[in-house]
Amino acid sequence: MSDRPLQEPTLLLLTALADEPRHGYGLIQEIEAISQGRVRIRTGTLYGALDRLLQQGLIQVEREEVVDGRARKVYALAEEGRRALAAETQRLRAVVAEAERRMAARRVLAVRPKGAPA
Amino acid sequence: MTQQHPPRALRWALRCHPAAYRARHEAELTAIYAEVTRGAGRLGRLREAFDIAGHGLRQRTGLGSDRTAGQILAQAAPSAIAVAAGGSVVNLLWLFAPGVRTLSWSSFPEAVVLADQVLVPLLWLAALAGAWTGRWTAARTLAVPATVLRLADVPLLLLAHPGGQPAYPAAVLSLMVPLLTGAVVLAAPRDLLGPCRHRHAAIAGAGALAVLLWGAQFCNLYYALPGGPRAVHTLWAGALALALLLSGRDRPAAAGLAVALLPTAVQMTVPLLYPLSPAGALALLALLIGAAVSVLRARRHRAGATPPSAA
Repeated sequence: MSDRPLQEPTLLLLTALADEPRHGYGLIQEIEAISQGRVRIRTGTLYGALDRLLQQGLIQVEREEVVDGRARKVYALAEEGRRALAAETQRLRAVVAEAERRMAARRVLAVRPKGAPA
Repeated sequence: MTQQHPPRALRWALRCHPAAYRARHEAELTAIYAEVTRGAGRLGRLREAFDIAGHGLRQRTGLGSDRTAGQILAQAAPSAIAVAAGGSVVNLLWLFAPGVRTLSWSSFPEAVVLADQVLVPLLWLAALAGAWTGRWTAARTLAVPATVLRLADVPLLLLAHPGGQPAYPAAVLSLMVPLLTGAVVLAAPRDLLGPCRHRHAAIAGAGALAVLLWGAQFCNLYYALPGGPRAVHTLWAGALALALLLSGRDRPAAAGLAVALLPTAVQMTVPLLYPLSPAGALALLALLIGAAVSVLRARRHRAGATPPSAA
């Protein structure tokens, strides 16, 4: 597993699968919701990412089903994917905590009167 | 819409996929296309079909994001834009430099050439801004007219100088550079492109390298550099050789830089062959060694079959 941060589409896809397995269109909708409408992944791009994540063992096909006469696959997070998502979440949490600490420190400096002891 | 009668655009897009992939995923892709484009206009439907076609072509050519080639292209795309932007900006200096300028705004065909030359760097710079900020749809859209206008360079110059005899090898090389650069930018798998801070260094480095090397060639007009223009050609070959030597599966950024530099480096290396100077021979040797090391390293990794990165 690489130590590099996950690309945003990868992170969003793994996050969308973190709570329950989903089919392709469900993933597109979920990614749009998670990113608050900022990321709208297209069908070809989604399948490129799914092919890659399947090949990397981060996700798996949980089942195939037929809805309205159309076959579709339902994808689920694999154990390796859960580990990758947990590691990325931990990394992001550390960055957020550090950003908040520094912003709070700046606020304290801003309200301290001139000449007051540090 | 029903499963039996998918729209024409989608049918064409699905035909871009290898037959085996299409057999496995056609029904699913058709269903998602139908859901996604429900209520969408003609443009929205075309965009969706275009994206599916792109995925199919990448599958067919082995450039999908699940393949090493696709992952290298994703690394190369930002650097390729930076090299194109850097090169086209320096190109403006050539066109407007005192004592060098040969084209005039007063002649219509020449004014068209000049307008083309001014527009291309603006488009590449806008594409660069898109790549830097992770707006890849905009960046790739801008790369299309930038590439087309750059491809128009040679025909426009022939239009401006109708009596001139084109130097065919140089013209072919001039067409190859934008064609390959545009191909790298458009072929990179979209799901591996995004706002990623660690690519900023690669973009800045590639852009700076292009400006430096093209700038050195420009400076040679006014201040003769040791070795003349061939020294700059040798530097391009050297930069590509170095990127090839450093590239590997665990160093995808160097592999991406090598791909990004390749079109311009080839254009610059060809003049070193006629006549072949000792410096040119050395540069070519370095290129061959770099390429050989890169291929051997790739083969060794394939034999080792290490698991790919999650990014």
